[in-house]
Amino acid sequence: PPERGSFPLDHFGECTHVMKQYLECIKVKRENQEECRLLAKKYLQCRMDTGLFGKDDMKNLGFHGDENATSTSLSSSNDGNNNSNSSSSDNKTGGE
Amino acid sequence: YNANFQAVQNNFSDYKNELISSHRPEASSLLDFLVKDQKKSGDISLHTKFNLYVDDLLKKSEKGQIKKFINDIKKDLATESQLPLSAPFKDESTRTMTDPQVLAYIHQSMPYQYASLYSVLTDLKIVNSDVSCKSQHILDCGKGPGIGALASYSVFPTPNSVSIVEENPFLKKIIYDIHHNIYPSTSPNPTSPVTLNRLPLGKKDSYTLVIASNKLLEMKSEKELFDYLRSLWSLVSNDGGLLVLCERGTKRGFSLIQRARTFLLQKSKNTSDKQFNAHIVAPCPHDGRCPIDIENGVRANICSFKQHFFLSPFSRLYVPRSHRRSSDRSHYSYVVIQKGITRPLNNTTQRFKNDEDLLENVNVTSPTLKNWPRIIRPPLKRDGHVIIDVCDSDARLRRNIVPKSQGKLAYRLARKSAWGDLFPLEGKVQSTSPSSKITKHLKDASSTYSINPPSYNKPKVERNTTADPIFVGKRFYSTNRHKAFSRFADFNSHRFPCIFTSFSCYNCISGTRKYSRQYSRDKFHYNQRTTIYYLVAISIFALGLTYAAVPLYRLFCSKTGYGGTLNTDQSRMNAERMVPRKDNKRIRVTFNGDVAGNLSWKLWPQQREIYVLPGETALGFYTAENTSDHDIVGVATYNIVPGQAAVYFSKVACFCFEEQKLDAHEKVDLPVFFFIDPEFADDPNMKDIDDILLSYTFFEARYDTNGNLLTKLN
Repeated sequence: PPERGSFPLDHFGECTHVMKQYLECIKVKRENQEECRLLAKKYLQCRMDTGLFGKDDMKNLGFHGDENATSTSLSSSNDGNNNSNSSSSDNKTGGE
Repeated sequence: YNANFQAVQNNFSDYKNELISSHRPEASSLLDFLVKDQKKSGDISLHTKFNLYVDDLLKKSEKGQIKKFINDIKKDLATESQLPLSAPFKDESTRTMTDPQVLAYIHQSMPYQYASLYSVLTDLKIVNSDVSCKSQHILDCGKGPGIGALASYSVFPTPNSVSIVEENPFLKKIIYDIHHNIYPSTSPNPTSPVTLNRLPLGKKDSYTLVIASNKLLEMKSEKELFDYLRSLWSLVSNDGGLLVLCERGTKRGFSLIQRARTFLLQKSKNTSDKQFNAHIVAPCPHDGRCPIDIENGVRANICSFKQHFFLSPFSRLYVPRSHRRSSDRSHYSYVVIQKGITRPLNNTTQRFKNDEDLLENVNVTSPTLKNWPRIIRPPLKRDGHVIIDVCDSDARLRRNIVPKSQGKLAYRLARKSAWGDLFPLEGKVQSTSPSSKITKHLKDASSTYSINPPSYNKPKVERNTTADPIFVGKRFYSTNRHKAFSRFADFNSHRFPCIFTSFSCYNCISGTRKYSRQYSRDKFHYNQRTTIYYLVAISIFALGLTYAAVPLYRLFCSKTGYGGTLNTDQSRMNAERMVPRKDNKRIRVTFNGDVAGNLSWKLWPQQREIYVLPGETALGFYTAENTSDHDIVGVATYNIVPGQAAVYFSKVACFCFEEQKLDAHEKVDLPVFFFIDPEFADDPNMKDIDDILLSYTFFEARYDTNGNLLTKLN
């Protein structure tokens, strides 16, 4: 099995919107460009926040922070998203 | 040229003179004595008639019994050599022997005793030449069928009267048969021997020659020994009578001889009466204390001699084929003491240092021969020199080294010298007991060499000599090592009792031999045991390896990714490895999804392909949909094409190998997070690979009654 095991199933489609952004990016760029990697990071962050992936430093997942320099605007919006996501996830886990 | 010629001429004349002088008749008499007369022949054997007689006796008696007793005697001899001197040991007396025992004893010891007595009497004749002229009154009180008498028949041609002391009736009969029926025809002896039951104590001072061979070992106690010696001594004639004591050449035998010798000398010294004067005729050239120390001497710790002889035919009876010999050497230790005559003064004896002395001093007179040093070890004949150990007239052991440079004649004499000979020559290099040592390898040995010491002839009789490490040349063990040996033996005695028993007699030659035999046997056993241990260890290891092989192989495969096995090595997934190799081309990763068998799922990738750099993490998505009306659990496995790239295809997280349960008509996204190992770029085998196909397959998970998964995936 891989290092971090399996991704648990996202039964409620909580991160589907990020996935769709990412797939769109890949279709357009045809390559795994920095923007798309940023979206990938965002997806993983989403997963971590919803408790569907083990929390870890992004560096350990191959994101060394050079993506942030290229698009600061996106990162700021990300932070906002992250916050909202984290709060919602907390509620969710409590509910479950 | 003329001068040269003259020189050559002179040399030649010198040489001629030398030749002439060396062939002077007077000189040859001394040389003849040293080289020929005193030499003993090894051609000794018992008389044929006697052999036939004993043969007959042995064959008539019961074979099994004789064999048993022969073995007993052999065992006794072996134990005697092994026992320490302090332990009590006693030979069985003929008084208590049964008939077969007597026969076994004759069988075993007779030829040996005869040879040693013959040799002793010959020695006596050499040193004391007037013995052979006089008519002898012989008393033989030795053990066995009057062997001393037999030997004296062959040595002394003059008419003798012979008395034999023997108690055993069977032996008495044998003695009668031998001496009356067999020997009268061969010996010039007109009177037949008298057989006595015990020592004829009434006939004091009437025997000129008393022979007691192998008798002292029968004595139980010191007192008995001294009583016996006293009565023997009283029988010896005051007018130059001789007492011959002869024992086996073992440590114990020699110790008895030494004790008897000191006892008799002491006895004679205590009485001022000149009639009871005693002096040693052979082998010692002095009447002092014996310089040989049995306990502390190093290998040179007994004074004994050997005589070669031919075994009798009956010695081959009842002996295993492998032990049959035609000849043997009799090992003996002896002393001959004369009564009533004083020893000739020591300073009248000649000493020979070089060839001139040898040529000048020509008269070999009998009395002075008694003071000539005797060789007490086999001479070591080396390259260009001879090492000769003698017991000298000043009661000291002396080692003479006679090199070639000492002179032609001297070297020749040394070359011809033999163990037991008289040897009046002084070596060019000498070392003397007690202070000087010869060994160079002993650090603490203060070696004092003296070349022809001038103060040699001073009488030094009655000097107390201490333990004496002189004879520690090449062949002998050094004192230090000897001590170390004993310490080792003490130390290890509780651990290796078997070695210790053999150690206890390491002083005597047979003991050392025994020790080495024991040692080699132990070593052999040790080697055998070690080999077995190794073999057992190897087989256990091999067995263990077969059990360990399967998990080890798995470990190996997972470490190396050999044969398409997933690379799950944790060390390859750390953050340092996830650095994109920007210099490399991008690799196309294509996605494929399948569903196996009748699983009513759908699986398809969300994107057809991603271009990634080695070391760059990337995310891929699949979508799975349960098309049936009930929940289904599925398990996914994946595969990489081409297979050799599987080693480098590392997954950080995926949906593989775990049961995924989908509700009826549910549709989920399945992400795969992976990266290609940066080493991919460095592997020459991966140079041509541009495409990697990642293919997922879903199986239905089946369970048995216990809830275990049946579908084996890895």
